Amino acid sequence: MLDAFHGACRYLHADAACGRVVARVGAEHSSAAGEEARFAVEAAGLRLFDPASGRRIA
Amino acid sequence: MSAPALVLRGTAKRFGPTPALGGVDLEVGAREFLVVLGPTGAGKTTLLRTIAGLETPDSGAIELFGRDAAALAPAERDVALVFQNFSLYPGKSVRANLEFPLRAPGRRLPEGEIAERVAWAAKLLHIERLLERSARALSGGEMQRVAIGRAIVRRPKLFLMDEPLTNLDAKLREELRVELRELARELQTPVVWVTHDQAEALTMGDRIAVLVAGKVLQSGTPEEVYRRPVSPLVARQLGTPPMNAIPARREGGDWVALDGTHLLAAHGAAQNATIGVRPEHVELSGGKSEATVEVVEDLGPARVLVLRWAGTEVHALAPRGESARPGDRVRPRIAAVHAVVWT
Repeated sequence: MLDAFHGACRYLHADAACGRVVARVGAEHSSAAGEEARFAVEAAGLRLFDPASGRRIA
Repeated sequence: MSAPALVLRGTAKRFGPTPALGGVDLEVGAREFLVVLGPTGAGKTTLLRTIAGLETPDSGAIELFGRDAAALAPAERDVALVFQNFSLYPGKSVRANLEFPLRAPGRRLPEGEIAERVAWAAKLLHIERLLERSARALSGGEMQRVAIGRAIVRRPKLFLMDEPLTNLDAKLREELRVELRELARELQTPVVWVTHDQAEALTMGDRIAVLVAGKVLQSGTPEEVYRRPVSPLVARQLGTPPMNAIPARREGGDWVALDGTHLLAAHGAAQNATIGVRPEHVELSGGKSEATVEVVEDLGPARVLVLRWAGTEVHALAPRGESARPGDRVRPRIAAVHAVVWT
């Protein structure tokens, strides 16, 4: 986990089973290097892309 | 706690009549990543060159790992400098560039160890596939990876990084910021990284030292310097959009702007002040007076609103769902707990 403070927010760079995940969280939410975290994804913000064509499906 | 890697006490340097460093006091911990943030001409490069022994300070002391650096020639200091302009040998391959510092006179490393160190650095920096390519054929990002590789193969005791990402495009800078921060953590070698880029300072440093006109104005963790800047000058170095700085006067128990707009409750005896408030701490409702929305900038995850309020231009950072449009009226309120009062 890499905790990158940006002032008004933080970006957490985490290695997950699916690969590198980057999450934007509140500035007060600090995490130590090596700490484990659980992420939930806002379904409304998901975009699906066809791996073959790269075109957006949904 | 281990001894500091680097200590500067009152380090000063002039070039003719021009002061470049005006008595710098700094300490860098044994595994610390210190970012020196400052505008062009602040003395950042002179600071690094002085630590490396390429400039002799006029006064003050520099200690490297507990030793007085004045007695050490640049080559004896065991520091590695990385410049913003990549500084590779264009006619040589990537491998030859990486091997070059290991073949310097006096090192006499066995061939096996040279190969092992080059392979190690190439793997860390993800440039293994480039090893046989000519340095001339590399992209900017690849060149800077190789330049950093040339520094790390030596396994120095201290890295001095002089705006190494400045010449790269924004997307690549963002990627390398993360990679290089992780690399530094893996190497556990102290770093002094100088930059004018506030995003690099905030995201990369264990600590930030704000250098302006050759003087360290404030040092602390990124959170400390961002949230409690000691002056408007320091505040302006960090944050996009920058911290709002509103001139104010005391009126009864309150700070009011010069046009009489109520800002927040006052404490202490001062009669005049500048109120500092980050855009994310300007709320758009609950205030005692109205403001006009002049501009709305959509940043994706958030919106920046430029308000005409308190006789000045005030920036507010709102969530992406904020629907205010130019011309709308809002009632701004400063979140007092986050405000800074400079007197």
